[in-house]
Amino acid sequence: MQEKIDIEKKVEATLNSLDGLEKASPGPFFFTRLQVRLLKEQNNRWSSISSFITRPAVAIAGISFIILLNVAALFYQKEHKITAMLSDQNEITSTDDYNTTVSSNSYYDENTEAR
Amino acid sequence: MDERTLVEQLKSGDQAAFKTIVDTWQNMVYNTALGIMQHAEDAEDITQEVFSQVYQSIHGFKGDSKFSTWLYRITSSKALDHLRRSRRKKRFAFLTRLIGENNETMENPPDFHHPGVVLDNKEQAAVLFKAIEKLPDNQRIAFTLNKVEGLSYQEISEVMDTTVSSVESLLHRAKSNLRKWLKDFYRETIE
Repeated sequence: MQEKIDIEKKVEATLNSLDGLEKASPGPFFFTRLQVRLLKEQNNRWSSISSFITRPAVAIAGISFIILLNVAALFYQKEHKITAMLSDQNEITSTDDYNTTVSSNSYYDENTEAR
Repeated sequence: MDERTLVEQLKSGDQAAFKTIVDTWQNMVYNTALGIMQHAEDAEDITQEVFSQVYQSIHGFKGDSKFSTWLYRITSSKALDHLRRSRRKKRFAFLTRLIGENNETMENPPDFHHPGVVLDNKEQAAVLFKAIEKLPDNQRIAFTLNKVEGLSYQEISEVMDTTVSSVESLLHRAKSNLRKWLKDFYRETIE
């Protein structure tokens, strides 16, 4: 019985052992250490970005994308040129037609005048 | 200078304001982290992480709660993350030891002695911290904030983003769990 009471007392004393606790503080020059950490983190961010970019998979994907864009642009330009050429040719043909009409008309006119 | 002005100055990139913030709240953050982690180096590491986050995400602080409440929130979540990581590591080390890949013996961490404990209570406080380690995470946070930081139930509810009655119930369960563990502990030491 006494043992049980002793245990109860010890438990209560242990639960109250943090009463009057003083606040702990980090070591001196904490702010300086923090500044060093912030600087390191900033450098790490840049180095992690550069290491991400220079990863073989990322680099290859990036270069392939740029090449693909170039090829697409080339095809688009080529197609654009062809359509432009076709429309130019159409224009030329229609002008030629007009010219032949004009020239045949003038021939006709000349002939009628001669008569 | 009041905290709102300090926060505004930090938002505009004032380094002096950041130093004042760190000087004002470093003990509070460190003491909380130490209470939860029970390891001085980890607590220092977490304190640095907390202020690093404050520096980088001060624009995320809208001022809906007190600045200290925001700091307590960051500290407790970072400490919990740290604890979970170290538990995972321990579990992994245990598994590799079972498999036989790692022949190192697992060492039990030494008793934690909080530097702010009254000298007469040193041994009992070490036993209590050992018992606190066994508590579930949210009970551990609530109990530490109450006993180590001396926060009221209302303040704890703001930090943990819950109701006062939930905090009461958390602390009640924490104390009864601790009582149970301590009783077993003292019974074993007597035997």
